[in-house]
Amino acid sequence: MRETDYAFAVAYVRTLENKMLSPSDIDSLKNAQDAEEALRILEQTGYGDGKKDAEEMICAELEKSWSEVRGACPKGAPVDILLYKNDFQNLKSIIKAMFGGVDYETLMLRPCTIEPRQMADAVRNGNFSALPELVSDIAAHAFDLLAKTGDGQLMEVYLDRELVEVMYREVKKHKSPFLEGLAKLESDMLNCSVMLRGSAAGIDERLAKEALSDIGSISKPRAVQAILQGHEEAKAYLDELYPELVKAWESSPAEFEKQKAYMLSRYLAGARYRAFGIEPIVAFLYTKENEAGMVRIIISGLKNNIPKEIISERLRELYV
Amino acid sequence: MSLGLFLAVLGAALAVSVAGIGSAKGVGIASEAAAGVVVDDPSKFGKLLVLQLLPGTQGLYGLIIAVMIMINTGILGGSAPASAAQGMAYLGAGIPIAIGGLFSGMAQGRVCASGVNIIAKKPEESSKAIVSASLVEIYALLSFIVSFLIVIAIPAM
Repeated sequence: MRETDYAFAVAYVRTLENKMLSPSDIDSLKNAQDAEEALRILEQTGYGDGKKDAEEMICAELEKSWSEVRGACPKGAPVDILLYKNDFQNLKSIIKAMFGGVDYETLMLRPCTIEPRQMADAVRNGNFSALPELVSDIAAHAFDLLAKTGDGQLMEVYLDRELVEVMYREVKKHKSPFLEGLAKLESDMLNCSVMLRGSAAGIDERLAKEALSDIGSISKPRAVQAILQGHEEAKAYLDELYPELVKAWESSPAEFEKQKAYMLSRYLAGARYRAFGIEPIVAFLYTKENEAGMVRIIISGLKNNIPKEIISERLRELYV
Repeated sequence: MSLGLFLAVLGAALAVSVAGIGSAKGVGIASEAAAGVVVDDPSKFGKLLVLQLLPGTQGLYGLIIAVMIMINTGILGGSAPASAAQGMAYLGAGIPIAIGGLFSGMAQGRVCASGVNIIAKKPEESSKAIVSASLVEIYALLSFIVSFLIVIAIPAM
């Protein structure tokens, strides 16, 4: 697909950007007396497609954006790849809910490419071939892993790794260096988390191998070795590639997450102002996810009477 | 048909068609981008129209050169056919606007589509988008001037 095929979609995305919450809208939300007032402010800005509940508003807003962007993109544009995150998260929640005998419905993330009900039916009946080819084998293996080991963490790290690898395989088909770079960065961010958290928790070799991906710039064999040698060794290896992440990790886990988000934003920042290609569209969709994350942080903070300074601290930059 | 006349006709055809392709591609991409804005905000149509039209000038320049060639050779008037040397000269006259029009039209289309993005985000900055697109126009104009000068110089050869 040529980059000029996206001329319509990119211009359309520019008009959608104008409708996003502005920094002053975010300030008004932060300064609201309580969650109800914040919801009223959100409603006045047109956020949430007329819904009343915070989570429903966020969901509706994201689904609307995705549907509009999908409609504007040329046929075959690889934007759905970005939704695999939600699909894999839903798969995790469904498998765990099935084993725990709890309801999965409230845990489902939308928008997604696989209908959660279809996914739940496939998992419940063990009929994984009913799922799209992309995830059928992965879902079956994840289910078996949990059934045989009873280790929920192992199943989760397996799915996290499969997610970045599936994303990478799919973007390679579209020959987009930008998307390939994004998938590699996502893989590196995952590996950094596994290395730092895993080495601190003293995970075993099997879990490390199951969790680490080998598509980014972090060498999987070296990373496994570093994890097994201990936390200091893992930090030393990562310090060669991502010193800012190691520094953030030493500060606090929250700072580490913020730094990961910042690195992703930095990668997308260069894409935002391009006039053609899928880059500005991907940057917009990530920004929209960020916006949803910010709304979620503010509303839940206000509901739980968290001080405004802490809410501000948790908020990331809105625009990539 | 004499060789001279054939070459002159070829020069006219290249001037109008190749420059026209540049314009068609340029207007196409600028209009595609403009449609992305208008679908959500029809009030911006007026500001966007200038950017959609700008890449169309190359085709117009090509048409002017083609008509001048046809008048000078007598194709439109039905008079005597051109000599082989004159035909070659007319073919040469069509080439600058053909090539210059093709590439400047396509490049201008991309600049105009980028300008559409400026107007979508900041309509008050539309003049900057138009000025940027006009810079590409200079090179279409240079091609047109050279083609024009060659055509008017041919009768004196």
